[in-house]
Amino acid sequence: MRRGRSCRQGWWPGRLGRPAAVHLPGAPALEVERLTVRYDGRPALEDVSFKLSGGERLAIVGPNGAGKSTLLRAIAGVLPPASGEVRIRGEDPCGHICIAYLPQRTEIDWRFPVTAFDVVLMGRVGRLGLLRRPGAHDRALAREALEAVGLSHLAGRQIGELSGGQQQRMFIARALAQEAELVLLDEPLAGLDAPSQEAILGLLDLLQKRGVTLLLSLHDLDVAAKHFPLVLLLNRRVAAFGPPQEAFTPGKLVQAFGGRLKALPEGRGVVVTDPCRTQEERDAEAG
Amino acid sequence: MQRLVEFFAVPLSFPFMVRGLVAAALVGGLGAVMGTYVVLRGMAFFGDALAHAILPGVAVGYLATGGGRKSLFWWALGTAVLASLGIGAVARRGRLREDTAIGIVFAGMFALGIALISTVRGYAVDLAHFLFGNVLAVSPHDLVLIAAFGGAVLLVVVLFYKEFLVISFDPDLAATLRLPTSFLRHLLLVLIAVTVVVSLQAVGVALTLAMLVTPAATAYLLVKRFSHMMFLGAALGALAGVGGIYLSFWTGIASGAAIVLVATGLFLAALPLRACLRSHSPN
Repeated sequence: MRRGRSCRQGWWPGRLGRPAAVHLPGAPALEVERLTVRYDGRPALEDVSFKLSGGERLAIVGPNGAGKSTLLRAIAGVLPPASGEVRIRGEDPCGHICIAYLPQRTEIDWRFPVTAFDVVLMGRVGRLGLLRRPGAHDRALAREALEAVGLSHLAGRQIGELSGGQQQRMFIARALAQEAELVLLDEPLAGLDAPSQEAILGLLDLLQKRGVTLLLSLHDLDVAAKHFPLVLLLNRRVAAFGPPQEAFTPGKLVQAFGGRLKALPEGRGVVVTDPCRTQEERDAEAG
Repeated sequence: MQRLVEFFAVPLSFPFMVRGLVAAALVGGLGAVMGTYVVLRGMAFFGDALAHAILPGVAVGYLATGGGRKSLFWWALGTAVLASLGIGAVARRGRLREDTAIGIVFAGMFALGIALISTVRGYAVDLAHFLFGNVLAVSPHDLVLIAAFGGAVLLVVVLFYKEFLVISFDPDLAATLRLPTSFLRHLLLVLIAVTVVVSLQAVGVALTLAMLVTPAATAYLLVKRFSHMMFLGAALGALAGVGGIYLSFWTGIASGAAIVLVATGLFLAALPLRACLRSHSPN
């Protein structure tokens, strides 16, 4: 996946300070309208539309390659849309620094020489502008954020020395330090054991109490149905959007997961058999 | 004791040795500062390619000035900046993988450089000078250039420290923080290009990569914070520079090779030290 090309920037920076997008009163927190994104000419997302109000939380569910990461990255303004629009509080995401994108843990070089505190402090960089170093206020916010996710005692650890769950909590702390109002989490529960997953879900409640709008990609239908009032079933196109009991119907699930899903008889549920996942991953989730 | 004092003091009685020591220390330190980015961003091949791609520019300058060496720095600098931005563009736009594109550009330019220099009679001596450098031939004028450009690179690194850290660690974060990522990436390439040019006189085209990679990688083994890696790397790079000059003086081996050998020795010494640090730290 190509990384780092953002918001159709020119070669020369228009500004080196902080951007100032206006939050239009009454505009929805997030509005995605007929969004299409392409990779190397092939569409990764087609004609995706949905809307979220402030403080809502949405789980994006779909098979591997459905475009879940692409959708999150397009909303973050990291990937430019081929057509269609993303509007955050009525404006293009490129003007906003209130969007936090938490990458999949596999995208990060965990041997990079930074501590958990250093990473959380990076969330402040967008608010500082050129030539300004993080001050006492920024450091205090970073410390508070680490406190909120229960990682204060590990602030000085090199990031590779943290467990998977701690690494994910560190990223959530970074979003807190960034004072994000829209937080996008790419597979935050992947590869975590049950207690760590619970801890992350608990922190999502905390974020939501602070009025943060949340979007997650997940591959576990049960977790999505249990913890999210709204789900988006995605397979390049939107198969369903709404409360899980309405969206997770056998017909729509088959539409999203294709042959990798079997509906059990008499409406007792569905079984997703995703051939792209390894036996270990399935065992880890089962255990 | 007397012999130890002599070991360090005797070379200092030669002005060319003093200049060589200062130049080697500056180049070693600067190389490691930019090397920190090169190592962490996985740009070693880019650094090597850049050093080789400078050769045709230097050759043209050499031919144009009839074998003069004074203006070569500027020819090298111009070529390096163009090559770094060119490689950046080829790598992003082409259909080929980035390392393949870099390989094609750099080998082609290197061959062009050798072809140009080979049109001059007695080219072997001059070619060797470009390929392996000669820090002991640094003039006071060269030293001023090294210090000025090295200082400028360090100043820019200080100014953009937090931005460079973010784009190196997590480019997507840089994008969502709305940092000018494209500008910063190109700026970093240009800074590496300037560093390569400054190193050229000391260790030559063939060994410049070592000044970018080896001291920074040695520091990477020993510390766990970015700024510490940069400082320790710079200290190790300067130490390798100074140690290499002394080694060269007392054994008669080529100065560029001696500097790189000392840097490599420090790296090898750090490997068991890392195991030691590991066993004493938690986890």
